[in-house]
Amino acid sequence: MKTFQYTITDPVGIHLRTVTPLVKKVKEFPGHEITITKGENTVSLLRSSAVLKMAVKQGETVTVSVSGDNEEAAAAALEAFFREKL
Amino acid sequence: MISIQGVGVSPGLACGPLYFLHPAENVIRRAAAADSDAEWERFLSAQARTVEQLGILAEQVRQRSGEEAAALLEGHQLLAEDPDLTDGVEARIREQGLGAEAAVMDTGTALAEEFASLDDPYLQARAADVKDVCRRIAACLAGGDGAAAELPGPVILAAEDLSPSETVQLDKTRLLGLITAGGSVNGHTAIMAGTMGIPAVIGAAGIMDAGPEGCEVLLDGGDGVVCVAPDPETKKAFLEKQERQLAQDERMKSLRGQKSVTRDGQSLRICCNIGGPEDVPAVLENDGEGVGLFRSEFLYLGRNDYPDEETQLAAYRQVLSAMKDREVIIRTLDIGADKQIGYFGLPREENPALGNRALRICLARPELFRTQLRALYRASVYGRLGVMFPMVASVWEVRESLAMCEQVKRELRKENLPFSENVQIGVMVETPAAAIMSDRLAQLVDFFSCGTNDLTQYTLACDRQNRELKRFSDPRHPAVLRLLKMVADNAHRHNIRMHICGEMAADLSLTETFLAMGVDELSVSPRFVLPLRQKVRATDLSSCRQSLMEELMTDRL
Repeated sequence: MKTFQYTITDPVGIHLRTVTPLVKKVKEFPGHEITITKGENTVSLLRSSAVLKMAVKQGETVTVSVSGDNEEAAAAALEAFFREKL
Repeated sequence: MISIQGVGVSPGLACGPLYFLHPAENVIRRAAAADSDAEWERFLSAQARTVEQLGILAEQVRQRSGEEAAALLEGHQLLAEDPDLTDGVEARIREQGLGAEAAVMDTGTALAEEFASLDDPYLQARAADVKDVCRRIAACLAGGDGAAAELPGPVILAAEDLSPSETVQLDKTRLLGLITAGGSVNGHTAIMAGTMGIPAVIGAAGIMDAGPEGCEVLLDGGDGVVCVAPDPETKKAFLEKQERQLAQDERMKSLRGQKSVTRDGQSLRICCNIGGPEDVPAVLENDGEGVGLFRSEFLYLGRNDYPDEETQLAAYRQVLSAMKDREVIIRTLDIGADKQIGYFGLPREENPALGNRALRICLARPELFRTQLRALYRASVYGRLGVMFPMVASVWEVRESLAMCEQVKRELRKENLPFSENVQIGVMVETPAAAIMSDRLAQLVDFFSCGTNDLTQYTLACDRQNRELKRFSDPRHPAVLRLLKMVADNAHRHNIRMHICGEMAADLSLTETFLAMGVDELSVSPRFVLPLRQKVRATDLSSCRQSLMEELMTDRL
């Protein structure tokens, strides 16, 4: 399993318009288990409304975990996405 | 007779039968189902169709209204296939034995409540999106093809609220006008109605109970008044107004082919602002004397990678050829600030309006700039091309851009690719710095074009996106007018042209002021061309020049 932590810089946090490309990105890695954790709460990054309901705000730190055959590449791609968009 | 005051969001007068569009949840509610497997299958297929339709719709909206509106529909697409929704529906079908429609609507309500209970106003507002998506799936289940409401004939449509996606799907040929009881805060519905040219009023509280379906209704999309079952006098007055409007439209038509010249002989060119080749017919129909601002951003929006030289060339060529001997001024890439494009990979900024945007990006990424300039010069043989640079603040930026133009010309010569030697180069005056330096800038280029929206924002230090500042960000502020006068004087001192292409250009109450300043060209949305021409032709400057100039120099607010 690969994990990384990221602190959100987007002023509106994770919202519908950024969740859309985020979930698309996650779908590029089928067969992988990809989750996001905020505090005690962990959900699959494929579950867009559950991710939204976590209400991740600017300045909060989340942990993303990736398990699967190509987890290195998937984690790297997702980390790049978070840095660029969130 | 019932009269309702709403907010007019798309001008025009309409008179016709009232037709109610009810939200899907009121009409489809199926009782418990006998066969839960069959219901589940029905749901899955409706869900798949909905996802597909939203994708198609997003593409259509992207072309008509841009990336922002399309992103909203793509968000809806994602919500439509969301596992929480799917799981909720499955549980309701299998465990509670509900029909697919009821299961979707109940799940939607439950999910919407979860969003509404969050303590974040942005996320609370997503409740409406979840409901919209569920209504869509339910409508699809009910046999509809996804929402496109069948209108029975030419009607005035009234709805509690109308989502942007519903609005764009309406059959324009059967729609005389639009009324909504709710006011959609984000304004998408209003923008779409304006784009479609349909008179519309939002926030008409009580319209859904104002009369029986089919009764007559009068709608004024300008002042926002809706009148249901009008008494004879009101109707008579309305029809007279409509007639005057038609007569006015006819008068406007008669102005086609006429010159835009004042009674005392001063002429002015009235050109159009366009966003892509699809706007050219409107320019020709309204007799625009050229294109004063062609925003090239559309080429870069709604794609995953930079448009190459050939793609750009094709679009520029199309517009130049269609405009024949009328000048077409193309603004080089103006992104950043409120216009963001993912693949540019621009970092988020604290203060984007003062950040890395427009020409600044082009100068920092010469390859990007070079590709666009090559396409522009190659297109120059197909018409009369002008090129202008946005967001200039310093003389060196213009020198560097001109050097880039020269480099591109050298390359094209070497490659034996033809281009015109008469391409006019201009600077957009949008920053106070450019206005103040206009005496120096005038020596480098062929024209100035003043973008008054940004010039106002930067001069008065008022964010143009911030509604709270409306009172403070008056484009008629004497500081803005003085800058414009200064730019005009510096332009004429060096024998170059001075244009105005911001929203102010269409303000008829400023036309005399602009004429008195000696502005050479106003560039406006196509529909403003003929009213402006009428105004110019009715003006006699000799009598008012002095007073207008004096007015400029004083605080008239």
